Amino acid sequence: MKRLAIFIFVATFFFAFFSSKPSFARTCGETGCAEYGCTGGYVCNGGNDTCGSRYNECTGATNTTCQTNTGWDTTSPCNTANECTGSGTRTATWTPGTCSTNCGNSNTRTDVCTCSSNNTCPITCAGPVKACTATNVVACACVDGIPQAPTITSITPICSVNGSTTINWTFGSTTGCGNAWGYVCSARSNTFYIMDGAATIASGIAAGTSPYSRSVTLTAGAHTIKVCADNGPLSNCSAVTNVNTSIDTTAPNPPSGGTVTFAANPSCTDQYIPTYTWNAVAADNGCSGMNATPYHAQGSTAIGFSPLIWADAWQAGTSKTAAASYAPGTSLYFKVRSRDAFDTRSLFTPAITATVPSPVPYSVIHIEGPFTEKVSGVCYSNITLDKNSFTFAPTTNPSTGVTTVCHAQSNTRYECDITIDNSQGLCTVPTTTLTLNAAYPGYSEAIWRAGNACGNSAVDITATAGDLVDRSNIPLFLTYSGGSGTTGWFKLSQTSFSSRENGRQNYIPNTMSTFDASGDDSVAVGVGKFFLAGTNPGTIVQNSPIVIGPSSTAYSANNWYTSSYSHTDDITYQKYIDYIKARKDSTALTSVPVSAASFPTNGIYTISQDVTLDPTWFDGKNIVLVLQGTRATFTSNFVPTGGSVAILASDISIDPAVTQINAILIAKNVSTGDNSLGNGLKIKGNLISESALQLDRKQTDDRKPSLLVIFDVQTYINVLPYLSTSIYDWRQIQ
Amino acid sequence: MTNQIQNPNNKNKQGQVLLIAIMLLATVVTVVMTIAFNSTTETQVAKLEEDSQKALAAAEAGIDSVIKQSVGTNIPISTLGDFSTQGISGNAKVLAVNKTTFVTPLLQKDEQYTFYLSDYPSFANPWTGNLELYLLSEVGQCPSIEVLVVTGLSTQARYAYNTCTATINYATLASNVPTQIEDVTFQWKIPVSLSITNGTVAFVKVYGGRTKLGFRDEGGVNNLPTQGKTVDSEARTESGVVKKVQLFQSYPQIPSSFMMTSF
Repeated sequence: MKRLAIFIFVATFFFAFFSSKPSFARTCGETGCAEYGCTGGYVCNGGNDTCGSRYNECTGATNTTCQTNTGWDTTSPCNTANECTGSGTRTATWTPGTCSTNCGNSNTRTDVCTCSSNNTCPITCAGPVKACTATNVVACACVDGIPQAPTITSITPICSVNGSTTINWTFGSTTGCGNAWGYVCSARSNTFYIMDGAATIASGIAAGTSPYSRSVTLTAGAHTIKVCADNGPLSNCSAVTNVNTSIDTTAPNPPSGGTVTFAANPSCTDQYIPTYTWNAVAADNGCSGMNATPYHAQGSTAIGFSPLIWADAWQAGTSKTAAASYAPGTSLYFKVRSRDAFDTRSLFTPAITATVPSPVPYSVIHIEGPFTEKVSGVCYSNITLDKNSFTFAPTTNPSTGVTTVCHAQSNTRYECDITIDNSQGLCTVPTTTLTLNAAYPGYSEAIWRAGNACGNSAVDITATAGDLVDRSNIPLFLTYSGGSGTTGWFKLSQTSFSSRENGRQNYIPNTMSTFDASGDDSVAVGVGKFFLAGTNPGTIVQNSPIVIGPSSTAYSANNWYTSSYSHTDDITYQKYIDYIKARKDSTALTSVPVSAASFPTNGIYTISQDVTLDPTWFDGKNIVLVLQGTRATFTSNFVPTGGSVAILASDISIDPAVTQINAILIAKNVSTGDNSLGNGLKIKGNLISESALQLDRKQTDDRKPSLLVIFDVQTYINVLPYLSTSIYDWRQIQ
Repeated sequence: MTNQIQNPNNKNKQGQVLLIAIMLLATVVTVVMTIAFNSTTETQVAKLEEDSQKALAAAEAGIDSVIKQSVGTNIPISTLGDFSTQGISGNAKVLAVNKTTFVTPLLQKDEQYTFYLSDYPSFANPWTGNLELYLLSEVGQCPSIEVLVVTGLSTQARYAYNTCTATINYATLASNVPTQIEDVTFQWKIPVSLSITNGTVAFVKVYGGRTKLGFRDEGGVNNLPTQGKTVDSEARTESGVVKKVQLFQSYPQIPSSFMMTSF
């Protein structure tokens, strides 16, 4: 029993021992895998047992071929005694390692293994040959082989900015076990390294797919470069390639000879487009050579070069033209720099300044001509106006840069100067159309007429600077309107005048004509061509000026007039009636006179009825007829023969048909008749109205006054005893 | 016993009474005489005043009586009304004054004076000579004048003058030469006398300020035409009160407003 117990104990021990394989955590005291015959370079996996001692476990014990240290075959023969339980058999398949193919063996082999027994792997290595050294262990193994030599294909560049050089090479196939890298039976590490002479300048370059490239830094000078392939145990190098490298960190010179030229903008000829030109840089100062776009030019309207006048970019050409045009006088600034192939840049050249030039000024367009007056549809030349009374407001189209000055050159001519200023860069054009817009008091229009002909329509003048058209005799046609155009103008002769209307407008045409051919009127210069004509004109009494128009520079030959003068009547129509009653001998008419018999003698006659006057009643008599509060009416011309008459009435009404009255007319209100017949009215004697007279008449011929009042002193002398008062001066002497 | 004994103070009292009586009497006499004197004086003054009024009234009546008479008429005042019974004497005469000078009445602004350069109403005897014309007779006034001289039948000549204010533009500036014409001192005169040949009439219109006008023959030799009637009337009362009045009535004057064209 004791032996049996010992046997059971020993058997249990061995059973426990073998049944524990493989176990990564060995028990203390285990010695490793030597029992598997893993010797002679076979790889073992190792670890520490529970006692901390190192153990080795052969992982390739059952491999039949060369085995890298990639671990166990996934399917392997039973390699441990206890992989089979019991004593049976099993079928195991051996799968060679990857090298096996290259060794010429089949991929797999299946056989029957006997459990608890070692089984023989019958695989034969065709070579390289390594004899198997143990049972159940593949005898064949690999022999380390030398890799192929790489081939340097290029080393570039040999010129760089920092010595960085790229070495390019090719290398053989990397597939299979017996490839360009050679056989490696131990741990494989395929890398390249590069040598410059004896110095390794790059290493650990991982194997990949050919071709290969590696950038290295080379100092300037000669180099012997080779690339080596290293599979760990062995290496093989390419042939040496000799290179002589350079390093270029020097900028090229800045371009020289910067100049600026200007070209007129075709669409805006008084602005200019600048072009900046410089000399090409002949060569780089280093090995790199000039850049393909070696120039960087900047232009600006500001010395600080902001904003720029063109796109900021490097370019190949040696000139740069601005995108826009600039006005004359504009200062422009330019500079340029260069660069080499390595973008090493020179400094900018010092800025140069260019001023946009001024174009040749356009010549002034001059227009001038005489004044021509159009009165009642007829034009009259050689007129003299008041040059200071003209108003010119010329306009031009286009107006940009155009200045037009028109004025009366003299009292007989006007002139216009059109200056088209192309020096301001305003894109002015040399051709413009001038609209005169002239005005002259008392005239409805002052215009140019087509063809310079009186009857033609108004025109503007289109002119181009520099053309040779003669514009020295273009009449300015003024059409007389008399202010309102619906009433005529009045004229006085040999009298003084007190205007009852402030600011009365009585425009007189320049081309005057006598009222009629009687000789009562004159248009002689210096005598009759006045508002108040005659060789002995009196004073114009006015509060605010009578506007007679600029055709007359004076009211009269004497040109006596008051300013802001308030005139006081020393007697009125009504007061005179009272005076007659008190102090004058008079004859009261009780009925409307029907014949001269009503006025038998000279004297004062009074009547309180309206009277239509007949001049024949007064022939040969000096009569003052006073209508007390009633109306005196003239229906026909009133020219008594050989008599002098003064009519005083509340109202005096004159028919438009009446053209002449020889009498002194005194009334509170006077109506001269309308313009329906186009007649004028001549009053030879005098006209006194206590209210402002509205002259409604208008002669057909505007050159003639529509009302002419001639002061006749003889009439006054003739009626002096009746149309008068007396002054008394009483004094007590003692 | 009582009567025998006289109080010496009694005699003194009697003297005092007498003195007082005399003084009272003197006072009464003085008052009465003063009253009587004053009454007489007032009576005399009243009489003089009455006579003065009578004389003035008589003189004015004389003017009224002859104002419409022709030159040379001389009417005794005593023939007028009851003046003869009142003992008033004197004459009213119509004169035609011919002098080398003439001063107009005061002319207001914008008034006109018709100055005759010939006889009125015949316009005969036209005056020829150089006529001085003076104006600005009142301090503070700045009159201007316009003169229309008619010679012959109807020949006209106009002149205009300013004084201290240029009321009429372009008029001639008169000369500041203070001159006394008759009893009026004029400050300005026209710078050049008006040369008149066969004058008929002149019209002088005043602008700006009032003034009298003074006319004088430049040489002081030729009388100017008569400008109207002058009536001198003198009345004297019995008491010796004398009143003398003079009225000048101009020849017809054409008002400025009837001569200046206006509308």
